[in-house]
Amino acid sequence: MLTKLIGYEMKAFGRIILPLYAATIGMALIMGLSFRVMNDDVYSNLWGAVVIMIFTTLILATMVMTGVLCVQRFYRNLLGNEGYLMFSLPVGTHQLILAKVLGSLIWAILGGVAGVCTVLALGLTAVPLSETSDLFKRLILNMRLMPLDKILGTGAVWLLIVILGFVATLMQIYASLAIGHQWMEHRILGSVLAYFGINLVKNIVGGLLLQVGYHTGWTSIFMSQMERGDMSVWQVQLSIIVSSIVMIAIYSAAAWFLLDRRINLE
Amino acid sequence: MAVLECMQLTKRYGNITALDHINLSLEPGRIVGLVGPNGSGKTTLIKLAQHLLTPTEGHILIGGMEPGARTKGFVSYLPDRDFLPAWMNVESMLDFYEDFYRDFDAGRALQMLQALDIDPRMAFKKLSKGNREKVQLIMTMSRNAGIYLLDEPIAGVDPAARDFILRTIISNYSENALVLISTHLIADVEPVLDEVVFLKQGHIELHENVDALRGRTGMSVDGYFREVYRC
Repeated sequence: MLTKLIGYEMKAFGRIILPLYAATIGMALIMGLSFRVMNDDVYSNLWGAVVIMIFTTLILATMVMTGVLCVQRFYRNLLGNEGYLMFSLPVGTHQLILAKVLGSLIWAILGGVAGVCTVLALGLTAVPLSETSDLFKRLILNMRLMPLDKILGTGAVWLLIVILGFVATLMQIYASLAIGHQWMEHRILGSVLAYFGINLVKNIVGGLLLQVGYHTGWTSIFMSQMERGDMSVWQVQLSIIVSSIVMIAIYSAAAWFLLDRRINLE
Repeated sequence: MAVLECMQLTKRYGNITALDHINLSLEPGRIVGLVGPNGSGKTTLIKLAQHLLTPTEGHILIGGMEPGARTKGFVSYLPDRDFLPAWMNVESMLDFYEDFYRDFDAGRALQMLQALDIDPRMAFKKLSKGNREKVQLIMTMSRNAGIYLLDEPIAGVDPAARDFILRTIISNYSENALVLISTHLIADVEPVLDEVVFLKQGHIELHENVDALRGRTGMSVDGYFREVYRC
């Protein structure tokens, strides 16, 4: 059932996002070709400015729309009238939430892939093919000389951190929407206030933990390490990963409880 | 054996008590009218049966189970509002129902859509209000469900559409199923009802066989309803 739910998320996003991806990549091709054939005259400069403006607008629109859809799919599809359909499906509430998170994550990753395709489309059309192939040859040669296993390992950890950060942010928004939905009226205002409230609580708890750490002595170990500059990267990475997982667990539990036990669709 | 059972079921919204310690037992193979004026607790009871609300006190059992993902597999629910995604067309809605409900009969739904001359390729948002309501009812009644929960299925539609809706309900529900129809338009649904439940301010005022009620009071259900709820 979860895969089916994700499938519908893909469709719901795709009908809006895919045309934007196609337009952005198409614009990158037009821009690349324009740069290649343009002369240094007024008309060419004007054309170049227009093309760059449209291209930039399309990139921004794609990024903003992805973010908006990540939130809107949760709000409309679960907390709006469509919620009557979704909460009547023979699936658990946790699956409904998970489908939204995974659907959004997949589209965020696809956004990255589309970004790479856009850069490639621009590069391959703007630069003559002989120069591009030379560039690729040099790139491959350099990569062979690099410790690829280490680079990939570090890259994978940072990618995990980015993914966990994305999921934690998304879950904080979802939990805020679920809290705001407990209000009988002004539910969006309630959600915004809940979001800031969660941030406030997070900061207070963080501050309290630091105080506890200071009094028990374990923060001094970190502080002295930081002062000496020998705090290893993996310690930083591990602390970010652990804190993200804890945040995701708290937000998920809150969102699940409110949607499963306290739901009240209008 | 009862397929829908309420035991001391209570639901409060803050200080407002929507349902107050109600006990109710509904058997399969019956069409039951859940009637009462606005705010009497009809929608709340249906939402509790579909796990769209949780009880404040007491219990509600669907097929002997607490409402949840399992019971939704055999309960077909029609809310009192547009609930299908506006961007989807009717055809993709059929696929959606087929994907999630094992008991959905797409052939039956298509037949009904054809009879109404509704193009399945049409986006849901482009349908008229009446056709949207009919499509939603077709989706709901095309499931071979054990329980049908229909919340105000004939409110806000013209008399011709009401006839279609009632015909669709009668000709499509499984004989062993329970059909619970919430409405305040009793005269329209009276001919199809086996039993009636009167709700008043969160209490069950009456639960009786329709023929027995008519015999006892010498009035139609609609007439008796007007008597009970006279302002």
